Amino acid sequence: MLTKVNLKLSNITYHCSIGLFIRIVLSIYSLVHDVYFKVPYTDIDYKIFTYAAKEVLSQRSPYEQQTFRYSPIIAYILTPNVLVHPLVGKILCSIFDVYLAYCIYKIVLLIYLNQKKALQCAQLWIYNPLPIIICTRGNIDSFSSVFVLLTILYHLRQNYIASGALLGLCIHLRLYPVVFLLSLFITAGRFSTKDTFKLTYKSKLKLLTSFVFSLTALTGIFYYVYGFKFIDSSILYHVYRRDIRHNFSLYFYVQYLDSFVPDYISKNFIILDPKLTKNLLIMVPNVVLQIAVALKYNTLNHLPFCLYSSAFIFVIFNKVLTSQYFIWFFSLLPLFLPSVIISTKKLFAIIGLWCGTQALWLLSAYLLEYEGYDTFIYIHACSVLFYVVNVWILVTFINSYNVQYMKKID
Amino acid sequence: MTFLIKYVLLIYFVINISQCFVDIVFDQSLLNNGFHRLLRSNITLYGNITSCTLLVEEKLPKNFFVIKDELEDTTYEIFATLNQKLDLETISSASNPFSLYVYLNRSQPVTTSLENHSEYFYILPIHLRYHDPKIGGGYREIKKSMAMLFSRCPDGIVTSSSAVVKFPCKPYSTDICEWSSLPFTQLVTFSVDSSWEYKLL
Repeated sequence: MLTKVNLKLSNITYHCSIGLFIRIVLSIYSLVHDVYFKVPYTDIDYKIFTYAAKEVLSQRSPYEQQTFRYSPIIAYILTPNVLVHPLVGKILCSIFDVYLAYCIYKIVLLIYLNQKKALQCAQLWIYNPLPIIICTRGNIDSFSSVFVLLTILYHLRQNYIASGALLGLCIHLRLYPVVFLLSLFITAGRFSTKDTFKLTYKSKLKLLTSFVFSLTALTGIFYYVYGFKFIDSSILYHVYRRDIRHNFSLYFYVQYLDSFVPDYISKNFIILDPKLTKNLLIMVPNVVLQIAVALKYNTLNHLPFCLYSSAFIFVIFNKVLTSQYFIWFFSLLPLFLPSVIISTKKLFAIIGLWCGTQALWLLSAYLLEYEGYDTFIYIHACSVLFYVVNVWILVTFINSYNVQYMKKID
Repeated sequence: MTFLIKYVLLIYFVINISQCFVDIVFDQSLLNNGFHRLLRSNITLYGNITSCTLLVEEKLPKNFFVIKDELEDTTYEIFATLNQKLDLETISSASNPFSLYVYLNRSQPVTTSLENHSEYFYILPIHLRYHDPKIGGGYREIKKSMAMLFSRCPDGIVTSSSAVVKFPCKPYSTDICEWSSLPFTQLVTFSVDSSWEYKLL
């Protein structure tokens, strides 16, 4: 009897089933919550996806929905929200979220050859309240994160045609995995620092070819169907976007203050548009750090940690930052955790500070958004604090990252 | 004023139009605080026009926006249409005022329908834009102009001798109908927050 229980507990499918059950229960709860509470449980973006799905079903472009900035695939996937019930989309998000845990299990097993560690890492995702809440709020980032993890899995298995094609799909779904391209390119076929470009160029070529083909094909198809509006909304918008509404980003407040620049100022800057210059300057630290990380962790063994650092840097240095972005790096965190040696005290400090500063920010934002207090400056102060804590966390992980427990992939 | 919104101006309005057969009570209030509000309207008609369709034209200032799909959301059960496409992401100064047309007919939730007395009720989800940043932060007053009320009745029923205007017969319809104006005065005033002024010298 006891053996049977132990067998069950060591079974990834068993934990995935429990995880799915928890998510479905919370998705059903969200329906009730949204009716009775002032602050809704469901993400506003979920409504936008559903509206876009409605447009698609009416034979119109999903971009008729003005704030839909995603791939049309998202609108297609969520058409059951209109045809059946809005809950269906959340259940789909939950299935993807649980499958993401399964991908974590497979990757950790491949790197560390240790089933127990692989299961523990997957459990970190399955029972983690943050992804559970984010996914049941109707966030679709678990879709793209699953494909990011599949990209890593195939890359580690040295199937570069698959990893390149999957990366193209990831970038089509969400633009952020573009920052992984450099690291994937460098690590393709590179098992140790001694492997030269000459030895690895075939792997790199396979990766690049399938990546370009996949991204071009997807972009081409949807450009053909929806025209320039697709390019503008799902790609260009994310480049020129200036979000003046409050968000976690260090740059939120400066963007809001900059939202109204009198004409006489603009006219005095003939060569350099101050807004454009500022946007470019904001990108500099991010780009520099992305290159640094890709060069530092330049072998296949380091890929999970490299991509985690890359996603983390991209998120905390980005000009817009909302809680759904946390999924981007959170989903990569369990992949290398067995290689992180960190004291319990420090671990609690990381969790406490990260949640604490976020709670402070959320309180200020709630008072502004739902109570109408003028708390802009407090939100900004909390954003700065949150940024400092995040930088400290990244530095702590870099210092605590130890490769000696890893199996050398070859 | 340290915190936002002591809102709500309740307006009671009874109009006696000599040549009209109805009295109208238009009660409007703004619910919730912060940036996401509900404009609650209650229209009571005293008179035999229960078979008429009413149209409310809400002229909203540039400080507001509404989400088209949210209007169609079953939560609110309203039939409303906009006179223009709205940019939901711009700041107040970069936006424009707009009109919203709310169609009220018998398929709307009618709370009571007694003899010579019918009530129409609707809730509009409206959202506030950010103001331009301002030194010292604080709050800014927004004035919402009065709503306009129109009716369209079957032949033989006269509601008013006021001007006749042309609007679409139904939301999103291209058919144009004649609507009789039911004039009255209305003023709703409330405050919303702004932030710091930006000076680049």
